[in-house]
Amino acid sequence: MSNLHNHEAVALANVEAFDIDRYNALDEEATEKTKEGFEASLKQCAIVKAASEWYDTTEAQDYLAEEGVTFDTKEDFINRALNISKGWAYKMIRSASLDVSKIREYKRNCTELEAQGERPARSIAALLKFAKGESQSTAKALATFSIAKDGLNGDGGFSIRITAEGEIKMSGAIENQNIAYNVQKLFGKLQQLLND
Amino acid sequence: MVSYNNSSTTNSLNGVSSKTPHLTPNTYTIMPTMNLTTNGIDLTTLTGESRRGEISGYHRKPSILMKNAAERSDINSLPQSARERLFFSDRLQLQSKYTIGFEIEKSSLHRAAIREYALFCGFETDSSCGYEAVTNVLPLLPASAWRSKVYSLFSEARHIIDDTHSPSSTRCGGHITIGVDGMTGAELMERIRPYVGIILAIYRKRLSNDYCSRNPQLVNNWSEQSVNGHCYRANRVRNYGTSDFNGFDAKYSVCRLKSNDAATIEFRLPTRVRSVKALMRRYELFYELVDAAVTGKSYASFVAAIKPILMRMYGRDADKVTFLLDLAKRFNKFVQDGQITERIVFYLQGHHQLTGDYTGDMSQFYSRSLRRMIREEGLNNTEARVLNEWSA
Repeated sequence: MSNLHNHEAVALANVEAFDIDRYNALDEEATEKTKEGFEASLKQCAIVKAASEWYDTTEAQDYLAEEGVTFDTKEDFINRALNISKGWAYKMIRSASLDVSKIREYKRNCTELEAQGERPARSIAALLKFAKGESQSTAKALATFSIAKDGLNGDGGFSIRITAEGEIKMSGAIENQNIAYNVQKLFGKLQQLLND
Repeated sequence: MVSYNNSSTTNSLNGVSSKTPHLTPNTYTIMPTMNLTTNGIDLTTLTGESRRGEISGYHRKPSILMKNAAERSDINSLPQSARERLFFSDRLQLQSKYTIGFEIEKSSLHRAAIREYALFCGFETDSSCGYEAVTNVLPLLPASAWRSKVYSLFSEARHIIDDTHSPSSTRCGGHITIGVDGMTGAELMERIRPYVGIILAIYRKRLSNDYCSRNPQLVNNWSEQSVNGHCYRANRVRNYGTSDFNGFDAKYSVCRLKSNDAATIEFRLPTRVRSVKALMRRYELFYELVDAAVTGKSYASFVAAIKPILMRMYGRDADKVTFLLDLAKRFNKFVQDGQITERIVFYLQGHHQLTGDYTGDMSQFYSRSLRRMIREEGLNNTEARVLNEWSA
C-alpha cells in the first residue's frame, strides 16, 4: 500500500515506464520467504529500477508537473510511491542490475544448499551478498570474527565463523598481508582471557 | 473514489503518531483539523454539516472555512527563505501568508456528486449561470508536499469540477479571490498591476463581458465605487473619466475590492473552470502572480516562472504561449499608461468595435499608431483590419 494522494496514485498508474499496479500487487507475495516470493521480489526490483530511472528523466518531471504531483525529493518519491526506504530501493536497483547468469547461479546455489538440508535465505539481501562472493549457508554461527570493510583489510571486509555443526565458514578474503599482526594481537588477548 | 484517510498508530513515548497515513477507499473520517502526525496537516476534514452537502439559495451558502493551516512537516522541504516569506505562526499553528479561493460556476451539477467536500464550503444557485461551488480559503503555495494535499482536494471533487460530469457554459465564470496576510486588498491590487497583463491576455475574451469588464487597469477606485456603485455602471458610457477606462463598478469589474479595508481582492475575469487540471494551472499561475507582487520580482523573472505553467496550460503550444506573453506586455502597458493599441482594442471594446456606441468614444485612450491608422485608413477599414488581424 503506498502513501499517495488520490491524484498522485492515478497519475503514477498511467505511467508506461513502470507498472506501479503490478508492483503493489506483488507486494504481498514478495514478503513470503519462498521461491515464489523471491521471484516476486525480483520482479519488484525490476520495477523499482525502471521507476528510479524514469523519475530522473525530464519527461517524468514534466509529466508530474502536468499532473500536479510533487515529490519533495527522489527519496520522497521512493518512500511514498514505492513504500520503501531509499537504502532498500538502492539494494533492489543493484539486484535488478545484476547479470542474469549471476542470479541463476544464486538460485542454483540455493537449491543445492536445500538439497544438503540447509535453509538458505532466498532474499534480495542474500542475493547481493552472494554476488559479492559471500557464503550462503544459514547454519547458526556460534562465534564470529569479522574485519570491517574500508578498514584493516583494504576495501573489502572479511568474516570467519564457526557454525553449530562445528564447520568453519568464511566470507570475503584476506587482502592485506599486514593484517596478521593485528589479528595475532586480538587473538592473543582472547587467549589470555580464556586462560584466566 | 479514494480519500486520504489518516489512520495511524501512536508512539507510546511521545504520543506522536509514527506510522504513515494510508489510503482507504470510500472513507471520509471526521477528524480535528489539526492533527499531530508526522505527516502534516490533514486537509480532508469534513464538518458533517448537512448544509455543506446541499445546494443553498443565492447568497445563502454556508460560511467559508479557513484551510490554510499547516504543520512543520508540511513545509520542511521548502528552503528557509521561502518558509519565512510564505508562512507565519498564529498561536503555535503555522499558516500560509498567501491564500486563494475559487468559485466554480456550472450549468448543472452531477446529482450523485452533491455531498460535502473538504474543498468546498458549499453550493449555491447562481443567477447568471445555474450553480456555483465555492471553495474554502486555501493556502496558496509553491510546489511542495503541502500543495499536493490541496491538489488532492481538487481531485476528490472532480465530479463537480470536470465538465464531463458537471457541465458549464460560456455564461459561467471562474472568479478567484486572493489575499496576503499583512496586506490590504488595495495594496495587493496596486502591487499586482505591473504583472496583471498576463491575466488580461489569457482571459481577453471576457474583457468585453458586462459582468467583469470594468476597471481593467486595476485602479484603486473604492471611493468612486462607494459613491457611484452600480449606477455608475449603468451610465458608464457617459461617465468614464480620462484615467478611468471603461468606468467603475462595485462588482462587475476585472478585479475588485470587496470593501475599502478588505484583505482580499476578487478577480472576476477568469473563465469557467472545465477540469481539475485547469484548476491546478490557475492555482499555479496565481501563486506566481501573488509571489511576484509581494516580492517585487522583475518582469523577466516573473515570465520565466509562468512560462512552464502556460506551456502546460496550452498543451505545450509554444506559438500560443509566445502570443500570450506578447499580448501580456501590451496589456501591461495599457494598465500602466492607459494606452490602447490596435493589438488590444478588439478585446477591450469587444464586438461593438471602434464604431460601436456601447462603450462610447474611447479615442482619447488610443495609442498614436492606432490613431494614425484610423486617420489614414478610415474608421471602418481600421475596424475590419483589427478584426481580421488581431482578434485571435
